[in-house]
Amino acid sequence: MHIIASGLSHKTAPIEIREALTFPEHNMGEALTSLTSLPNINEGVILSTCNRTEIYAVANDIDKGRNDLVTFFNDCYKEDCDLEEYLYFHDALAAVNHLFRVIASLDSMVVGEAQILGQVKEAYAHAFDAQTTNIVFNRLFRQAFAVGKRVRTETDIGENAVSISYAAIQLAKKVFGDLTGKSVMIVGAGKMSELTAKHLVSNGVTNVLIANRSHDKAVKMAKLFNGQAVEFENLADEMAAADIVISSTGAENFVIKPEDMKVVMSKRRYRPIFLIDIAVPRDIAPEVNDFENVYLYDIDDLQSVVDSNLAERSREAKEAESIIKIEVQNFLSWQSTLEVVPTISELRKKAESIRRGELEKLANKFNNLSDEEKNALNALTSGIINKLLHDPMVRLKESSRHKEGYLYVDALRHLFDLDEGDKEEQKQEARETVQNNVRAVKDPHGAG
Amino acid sequence: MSERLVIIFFWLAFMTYAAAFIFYLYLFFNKRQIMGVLAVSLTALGFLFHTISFGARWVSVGYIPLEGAFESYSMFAWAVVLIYLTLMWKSELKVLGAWLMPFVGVLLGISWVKYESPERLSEVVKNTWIILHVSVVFLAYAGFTIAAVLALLYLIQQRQLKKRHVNLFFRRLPALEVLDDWSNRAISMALPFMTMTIITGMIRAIKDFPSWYYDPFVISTALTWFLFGLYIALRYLRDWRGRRIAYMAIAGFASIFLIQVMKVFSGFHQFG
Repeated sequence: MHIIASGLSHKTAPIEIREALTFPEHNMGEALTSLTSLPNINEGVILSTCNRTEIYAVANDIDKGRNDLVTFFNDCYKEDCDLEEYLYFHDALAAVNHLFRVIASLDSMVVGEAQILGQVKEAYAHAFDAQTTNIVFNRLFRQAFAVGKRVRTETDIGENAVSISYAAIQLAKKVFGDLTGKSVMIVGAGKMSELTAKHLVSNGVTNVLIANRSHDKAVKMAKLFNGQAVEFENLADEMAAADIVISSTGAENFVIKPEDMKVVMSKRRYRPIFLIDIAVPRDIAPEVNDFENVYLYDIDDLQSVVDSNLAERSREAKEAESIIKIEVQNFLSWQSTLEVVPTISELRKKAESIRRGELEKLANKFNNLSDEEKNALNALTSGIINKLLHDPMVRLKESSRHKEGYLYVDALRHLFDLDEGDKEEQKQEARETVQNNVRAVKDPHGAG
Repeated sequence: MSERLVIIFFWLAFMTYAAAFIFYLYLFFNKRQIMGVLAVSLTALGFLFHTISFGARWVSVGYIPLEGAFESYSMFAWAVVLIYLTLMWKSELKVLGAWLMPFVGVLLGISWVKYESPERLSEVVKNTWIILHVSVVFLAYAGFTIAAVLALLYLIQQRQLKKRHVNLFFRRLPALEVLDDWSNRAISMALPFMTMTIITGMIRAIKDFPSWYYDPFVISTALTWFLFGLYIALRYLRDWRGRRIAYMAIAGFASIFLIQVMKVFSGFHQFG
């Protein structure tokens, strides 16, 4: 039994290739069923996102499994060209490692983005519903979700904003803490300021004021946010009510000058105000930043915040790699229990210890057995055990050539009680994982 | 016997706080949830040892042990940890531990240097007013200490934001408004205790020491009280916040700390 993974991603294939090889949700079930009906594939999960298309499979032979996957990909591929040069392939340890790196978003276009965890959960849920997962993948994916969660909680990989508009939110939070109940003013209705305002509102900002040279446009945008359009001419007066100001007008000169700010701050009784100037040329005079309790960031400042956050993420990624290393080892040590040879020797050991125990009991009961009698008993009991175990062992070895062979190993371990831990329990847990977790994870920092 | 327990648990507390400090530092440089849990648990354990040491001293002295530098500084440190632990429900403030623990260590260090065996104590403390006086004074001091550390963190974070430095301090320190708000809360809590300290002290002093107000310690304490009173007034009446008020919180604390140091060298009240 081998775990293999194959597919293509933003790292190996251009968009034209990726878009031609996708598995839309509505025929995912069908695709999964045809995947596991391949001669060498027994379990399968298909992960299809805009940046990657990957298949994880349990195969009885690495090379045959690989060929199966390539054939499968080629069958699903819409264009007429050679797909193989774009495909990567991992087996055994590398495949598990790859899955864990993917789910921890280390392989993502933006390291640390939060969506991938939800996407893998969804992919697994589809496979679970289509019954194309079994003991190996139920275990592997459950552990993968735990890895994804561990990486997010134990490292800062997803903590810091990696887009301009989210960097503005991160900074606002460093000034005000909780944004609930704060007011934002948008100066100059534009796409970028609209987006930032949207993020602010979803972070708790309740009051939205809009000032625009053309008042009609301001009124229109105010409707969008359930906000209030204010007079552009009275900017300084109106600004006093805003805790956060986003400015992006097309003006040639500064719209907010130091003398305006003086008015604003005295009206605000010097409560802190956070100014975001995303206009080029700039809207807000840079000297405004020297005022007490005024924090001004222009587009370059925001970009440098983003850059430093990206650097922080790649530092945290190293920490994540070491978590993954440990988790891969944990999984491999479980996986080794499904191998034929150790299972056979464990079964033999168990039979032998039962035989010895029974012989001892007998010897205690009849303490005048001669050596000859003892030898005869020994031979008899050994003979029974060997004969009894011979067929199951031969069958088990044979089965390892079939794709679902490891299921016999699992069944045998269960029937002869060779493991601690209940298989039913595991299956139940897998079911719960599916039910609880298939909701898309919201990305709080705009990486997705 | 009891005195031996005082010393054993005093050192256990010191070591546990030191261990907690290491975890706080680790938490500061590498955000790992488990480190935070360990750090706070160790702080709580240290606090328990510290309390046992205090209790044993009580038994050994025979009445509330709040006299002399050993007992006073130990109590000061105890009160700081007490208030810190009550702030824990606001998890953002956990990071404060990294900054408070060294101070707690210094207090315990001074306390240890000035260790006195229980027999040397006078009868001064056996008065209800004085017991009240010395009990609340440490809560007031601890509150001002925490307010000052928060104000210091405010100044650091404020500088990061003004200079647009996105570094470790920027990431780990709480938001400006959180720091400002909690510093204010700590002072608002501590000032009434300080007031009680002064009133109970006055009641006692007027009775037996007619010229009590010439005492330099009394005068500097009164000045400190006015400073914090001004802080509260500016805050609530004039809506001051930010840098200026943070400097005031730090100045108030510095004056308290100077008074404390003065005390170590010159004894408690000159009239006492």
